[in-house]
Amino acid sequence: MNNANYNANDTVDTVDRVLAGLRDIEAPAGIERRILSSLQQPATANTSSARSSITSPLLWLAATAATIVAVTIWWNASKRPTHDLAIHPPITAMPSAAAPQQADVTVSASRARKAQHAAVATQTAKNSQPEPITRPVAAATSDTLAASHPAPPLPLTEQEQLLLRILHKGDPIELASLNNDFRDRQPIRDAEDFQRFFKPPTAPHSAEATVDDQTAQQNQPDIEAQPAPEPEPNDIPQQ
Amino acid sequence: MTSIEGLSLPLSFTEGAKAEIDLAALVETHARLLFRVAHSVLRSSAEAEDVVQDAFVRVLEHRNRLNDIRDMRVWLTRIAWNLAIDRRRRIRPDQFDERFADDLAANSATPHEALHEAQRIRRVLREMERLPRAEHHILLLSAIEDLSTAEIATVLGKTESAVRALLFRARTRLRERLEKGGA
Repeated sequence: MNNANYNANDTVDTVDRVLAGLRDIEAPAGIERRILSSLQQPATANTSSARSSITSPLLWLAATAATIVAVTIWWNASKRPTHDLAIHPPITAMPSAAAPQQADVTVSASRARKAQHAAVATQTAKNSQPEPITRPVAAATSDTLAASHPAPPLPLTEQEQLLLRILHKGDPIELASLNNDFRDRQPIRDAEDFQRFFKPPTAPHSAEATVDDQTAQQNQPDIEAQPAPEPEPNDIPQQ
Repeated sequence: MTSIEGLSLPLSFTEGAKAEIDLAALVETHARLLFRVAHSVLRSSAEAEDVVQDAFVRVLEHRNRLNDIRDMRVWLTRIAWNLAIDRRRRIRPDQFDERFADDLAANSATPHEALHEAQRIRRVLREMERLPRAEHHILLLSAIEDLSTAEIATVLGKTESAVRALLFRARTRLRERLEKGGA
């Protein structure tokens, strides 16, 4: 804008022109008809508004009920895994050095789980007595809804088997040792076993073998002093 | 009962009412005045037409008390004015100034003069918006020659002398600001 040309007369003229433009503005054609057409609708608008005032509380009530149901379902679905995890803590695989502890942990966890299942089953049985019809359904769905159980324990290592063998009580051999006759025959049986393995062969000896045997007998007087038991036919090694 | 192209809306009062006012006649008589009043504030034809429609909706809402209204013209003007002021808070009238200025400057001799005139008109409209609120309102309503000073005073809730004083101050302040800004 050229400021030099903007004198007082132009200012007044421009203001008057703006005001004249505001005064002489023409209303759009057909404004009256459009206004009257729109004014003929308040009656139906009132009716629709009254109907909406009646239906809106019902809609709100239905929406609230649906929200409550959805939240309840979500709450139950999100709470169940946490509860099962608390009952069944996860047992991870451990190295073989800690296998005994793992076995103990596994046994204790399985016992706790069994006890928990027994308690839950008892409680469920007590609670489900008034409703016997739903019991099969609950039994059928319990496995599907239950959390997955941990993997079965790994097979015992050699060290674990040795420990179990040491700690094992009531073996048949130990029980047999309580028998006097069996206990009295045990030294004889041990001596027979010894002779079975260390008795010289009964085959005909040569001269060298006889000399060697005599030398050996001189070097082992204790063995020679003991009476050699008669070899049993079954104990003779086959040649 | 007057009708516009077949449309007629008799405003029947309550059962004891003595008179019957035709809404179509009211629309035909006052719609264009109300449109100018609303347009002076909003400077948009669509917005002004919506204001006129809302004004007659208010008439329907108060149809039971129309007998108590002494001057229907001023009453309708006041309704439209208040509705336009209320709508002005939600829209920005300056967004419509460019088109309004171009329309006013379209009658200039040359395109260069039209462009120059449109710039000056936009500046006048901008300075009018910066006037004090009472002076701005008086200036807008005074532009509508259909309204007398007494009617403007009634619409704005002021005395006639106050309207004249405010109108004088508004013109003076606007001219001073335009000359100061243009110097």
